[in-house]
Amino acid sequence: MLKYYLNVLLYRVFNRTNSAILKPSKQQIEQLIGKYLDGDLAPGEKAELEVAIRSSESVQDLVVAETLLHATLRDRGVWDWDDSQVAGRRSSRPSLWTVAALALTAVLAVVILLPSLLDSDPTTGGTPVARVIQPSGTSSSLLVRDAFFTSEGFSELEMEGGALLALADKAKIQLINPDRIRLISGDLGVNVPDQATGFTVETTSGEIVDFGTRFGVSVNPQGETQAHLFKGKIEVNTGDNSQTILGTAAVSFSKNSDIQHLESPANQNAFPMPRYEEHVRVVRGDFEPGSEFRVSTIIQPKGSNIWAGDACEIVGPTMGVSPYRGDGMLRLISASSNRLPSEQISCNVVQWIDLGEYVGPTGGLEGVRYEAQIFVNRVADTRTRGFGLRVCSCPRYPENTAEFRAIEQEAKEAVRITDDDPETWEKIELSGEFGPTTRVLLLDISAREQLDSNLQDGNVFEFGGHFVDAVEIKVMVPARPAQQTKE
Amino acid sequence: MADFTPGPDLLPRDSKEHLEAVQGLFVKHSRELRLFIRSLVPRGIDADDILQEVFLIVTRKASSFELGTNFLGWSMRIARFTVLKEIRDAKKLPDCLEEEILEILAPKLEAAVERDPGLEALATCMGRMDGRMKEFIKMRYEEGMKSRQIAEASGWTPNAVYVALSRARRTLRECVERQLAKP
Repeated sequence: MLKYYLNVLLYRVFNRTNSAILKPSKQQIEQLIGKYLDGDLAPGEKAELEVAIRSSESVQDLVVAETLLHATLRDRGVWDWDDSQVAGRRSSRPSLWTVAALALTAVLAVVILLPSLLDSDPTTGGTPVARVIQPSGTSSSLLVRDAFFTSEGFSELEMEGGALLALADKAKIQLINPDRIRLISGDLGVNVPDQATGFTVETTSGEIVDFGTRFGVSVNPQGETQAHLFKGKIEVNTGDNSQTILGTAAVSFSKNSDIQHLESPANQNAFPMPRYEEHVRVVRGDFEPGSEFRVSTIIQPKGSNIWAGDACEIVGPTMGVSPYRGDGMLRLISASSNRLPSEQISCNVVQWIDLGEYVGPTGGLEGVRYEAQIFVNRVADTRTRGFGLRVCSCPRYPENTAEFRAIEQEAKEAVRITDDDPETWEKIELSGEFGPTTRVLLLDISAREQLDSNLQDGNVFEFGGHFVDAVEIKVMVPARPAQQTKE
Repeated sequence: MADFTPGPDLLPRDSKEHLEAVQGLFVKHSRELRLFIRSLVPRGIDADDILQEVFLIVTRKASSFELGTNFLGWSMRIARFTVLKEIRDAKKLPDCLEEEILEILAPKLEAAVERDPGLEALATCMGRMDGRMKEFIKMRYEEGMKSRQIAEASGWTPNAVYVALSRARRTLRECVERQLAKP
């Protein structure tokens, strides 16, 4: 106790005020509390305030009331409130304000909660703007507006607006709203599906606005931001400067600085990436007329990405069959590359698709799943009745027929016996997981004969009216931590 | 303002459901907890860090909490000890009051937080403020200016601004009390 009075005494002597320890006036107490709240108390003033608190319960009550209101007013929620909301809610339950943050512990995540905000449903404890996704794909923790989230280890979040985020260890973000976050420090990967276009990442240097994209953002300890665009389009704003970036590119920027393009290319493996799924480009997958449609031998030059195989053609409506979508569809004609009947039992068309875009640094597509689908239709035909869909994941393009046959042995296949109603299209689906060595995909569509139906009688099509349309392949790439360091 | 969970404590204390219920209460009361921490240490310590630590302690000690009793009071006591430990560990926090003083204030603060009316009444009262009082409050809290900066901007002395802000806060408190007293 003595040291407090000593401090006060010294303070008053040096400040040439009263030479005795006098009870400060109310106004002096208000000033001292104001300075305390601002962090402006001199040592003697601090001691004076402490003495006053110690000796007076009314001062204690005043300090408590002042500090509590001071803390409340510093909360952003107060300033987000407008009078119309008040008017609309006055007659309802008295406490419509809640805040909240996160819920349950994610194994790898620690969540910090920020200030109170308006919640439309007082029973829920806060309006969630994001959820933490467990490695299993289930969500575990709800995060509310303005919550801070610090990642311990790799974390994946799904925003209510649809954007998916992946955070590196120690990355810290603040969730502003379902379509906007602030990256405070660390590395972040973002996948923005179409419905979440406009998703924005703020940093101290500026902001990155998405236009349907996958990109990575990092904020280093000096506050500099790097943005790496892997696919799509983003806009970078730094206050004074704004730039639209397309395709793949890497830039760095600081507040009000120029946006510098980095010499090293955008590197997706240097960022944590959330799960994403997208359609793989299938060349002429809709078989629209008017476009070149080449069919060649099955084994294609590397990266050819065209259809190859037996006799087929793009046609419009015919034989009572209309395309499943668009103006064209593929008609499968015979089980050989010419249009004549053969002793082969199926008409196959294939396309090799390069999956290099999805290959991780380990060189393969381990954990990447796919879903393939085609729509098929046929007219009445006594000789044939089935369609097939095959997907084969391969480490490389085959060099020769023997290698191709070996690859075929590993193919995954779905066969469907369809009706002969030309009005209806049937869907054939196939799904699976690529292997750790996969780099190339073989997509194989076929119409099948019955084994006893080989014709040897001349100039008729071997297949009486078999059609395929709307070929799609979707890949589902799992979330993963960064695999490399940034240059 | 204290919220008591309804019903008897039927869940086994070591069950996942009990833990989730306790964590749910933390979520529900996070605003008050943060307010408490910020009020106890207005400057020098990151309230969010403390809140995070409190969350982890609450999770660890969940089995010692009896559902149906006062969660906010229990968790504020944890927050109080966590704050004091942080202050001791930090050793030198010039803006912070002595630990002994904080020990005096903490119970009163806990009681005040439990009575905290929330923000609706406060927002209403802020909407009714006008003149220099409202201007100062907005400069101080919405724009984040310190009192000295407000003094420079307004031509007032810093001491006059401290007093003006103190009175503006008192006006708000009194207004809130009147709002809450309305039927």
